[in-house]
Amino acid sequence: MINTKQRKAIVGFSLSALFACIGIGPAKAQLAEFNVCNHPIVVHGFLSQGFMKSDGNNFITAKTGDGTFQTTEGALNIATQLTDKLHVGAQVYSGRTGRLGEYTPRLDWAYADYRVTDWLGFRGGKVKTPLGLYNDTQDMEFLHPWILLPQSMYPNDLRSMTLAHTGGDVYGHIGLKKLGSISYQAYGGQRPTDPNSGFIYGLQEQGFSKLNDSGYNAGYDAKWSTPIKGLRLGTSYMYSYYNITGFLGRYPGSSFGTYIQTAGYAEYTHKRLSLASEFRSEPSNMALVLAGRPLPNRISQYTMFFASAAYRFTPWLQIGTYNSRFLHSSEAVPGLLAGDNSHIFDQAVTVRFDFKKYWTFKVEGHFMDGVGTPIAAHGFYVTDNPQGLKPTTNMIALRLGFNI
Amino acid sequence: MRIRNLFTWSLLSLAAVATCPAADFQIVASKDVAVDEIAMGDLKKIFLLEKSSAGAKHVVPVVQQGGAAHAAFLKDCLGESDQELQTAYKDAAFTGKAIAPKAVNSDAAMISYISMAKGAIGYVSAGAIPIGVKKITVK
Repeated sequence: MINTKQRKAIVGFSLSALFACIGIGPAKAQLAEFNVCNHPIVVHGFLSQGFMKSDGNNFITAKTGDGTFQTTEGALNIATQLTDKLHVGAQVYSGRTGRLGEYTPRLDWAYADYRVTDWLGFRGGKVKTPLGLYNDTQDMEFLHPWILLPQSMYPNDLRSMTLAHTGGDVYGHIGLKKLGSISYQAYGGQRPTDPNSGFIYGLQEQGFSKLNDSGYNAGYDAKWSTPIKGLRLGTSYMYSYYNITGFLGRYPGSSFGTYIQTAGYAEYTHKRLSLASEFRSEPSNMALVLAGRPLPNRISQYTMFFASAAYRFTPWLQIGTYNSRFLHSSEAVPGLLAGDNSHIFDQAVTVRFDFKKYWTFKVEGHFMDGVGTPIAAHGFYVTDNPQGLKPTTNMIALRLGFNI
Repeated sequence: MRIRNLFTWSLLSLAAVATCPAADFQIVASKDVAVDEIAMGDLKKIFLLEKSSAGAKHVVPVVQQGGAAHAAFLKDCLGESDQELQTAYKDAAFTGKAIAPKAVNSDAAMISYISMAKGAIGYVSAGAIPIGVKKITVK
């Protein structure tokens, strides 16, 4: 068993090795490339370090109120084309934001991809899960203008629950001639478990302990590249089954049931302007059993929305803003949980500098109203705010990143 | 007469542009690539990693890291900025969906690489001399 000190040393060494590779040789498109048995192996990696300072509340389990550098992440991946139709690869990710991640190295994805033809392919292994615009890329901030994606639907503290699945996918790209083209992906597989996630921390704040969770995700995503240049429309669906066991005080308890996410989204780019918007509805129905006694089901509704605009003024300067809205309501479970109607609204403003090839630096402001609720924890935790949660939070974030 | 000549010249120029949109670059491919001509739409899909075949045979795109041919190819074929293209390749590389294309830094390097690779397709400046590779006409 690797302890925290050893884990930090391993991560530190890996990240240092990544940095050591920076600037070696002429400009290139990958960190390294070499041949094994006549197969070219390509290696890519990224590393980023952030700083966050907030008033109001500590956010996403970090001590943002004091100002914190507790937000670091990096990944290394390796891939090769084995035959014309088969490629394989894997990525290891490690990072920490406050109490999230704890630098535990995680297999981000590792799979074999067999592309029969352009409209039909199969993937098997641990695969990134498509959901909405950014689910499968939400741990790669350099792909987006933002430091923090809209937290209503891409919350850092909950992303490990939906980021990938271990199972199988079918995917393809279908040309529609004058009507554009459609990319689709359908999937099913085991959901990852993460003891250092907001999902577990949220349940702990409700008094649960010794928690175990398991379950699966299944769904699809379809993106239509319309005949209107730069306009993409899409829809996603994800059915998640949860099975959670633990203790409330000294009483054993369990909860099982579903969270079903349905998303609709649009993305439009015209010259230097990028617009995006997404809406997601997530009803949940969870059965509860405490000390062998069934309780009424916990019925909840999560509603999420964001709209964003970003403009690239020069190749090295992009400025953007988004409005993100998270709404939660749930019925009371008599004797256990109160009903809830809560929200978190966030107006964010970002400046992104692509100041050097492979390097980005971002400055971002967040102006948040509301803190949600401990029974649907979403960025704000009582444990991190023992003085009590305040209704508004303003935060500035900085992030320096390298990727190749 | 002068006006008629001018009119005829203009029509010929338009026809040339319509049949040869790759005016500032030329498409080159390995000799085993099965096609001699390719539709602009299919070429775009190959470089955006949405399509991996031409003439029912596997093809692999190769890109340049900069230069006049790269700029012309981005503008006239892909309709994307270099940043958008790099973001698409990073998206593919960091999610594992596809392997980002090989990148070279000159016409000579492109021709040299493609002449030795299997199923490779790339672009060079209109003035480059494509020795040891196949020239592909863009429809």
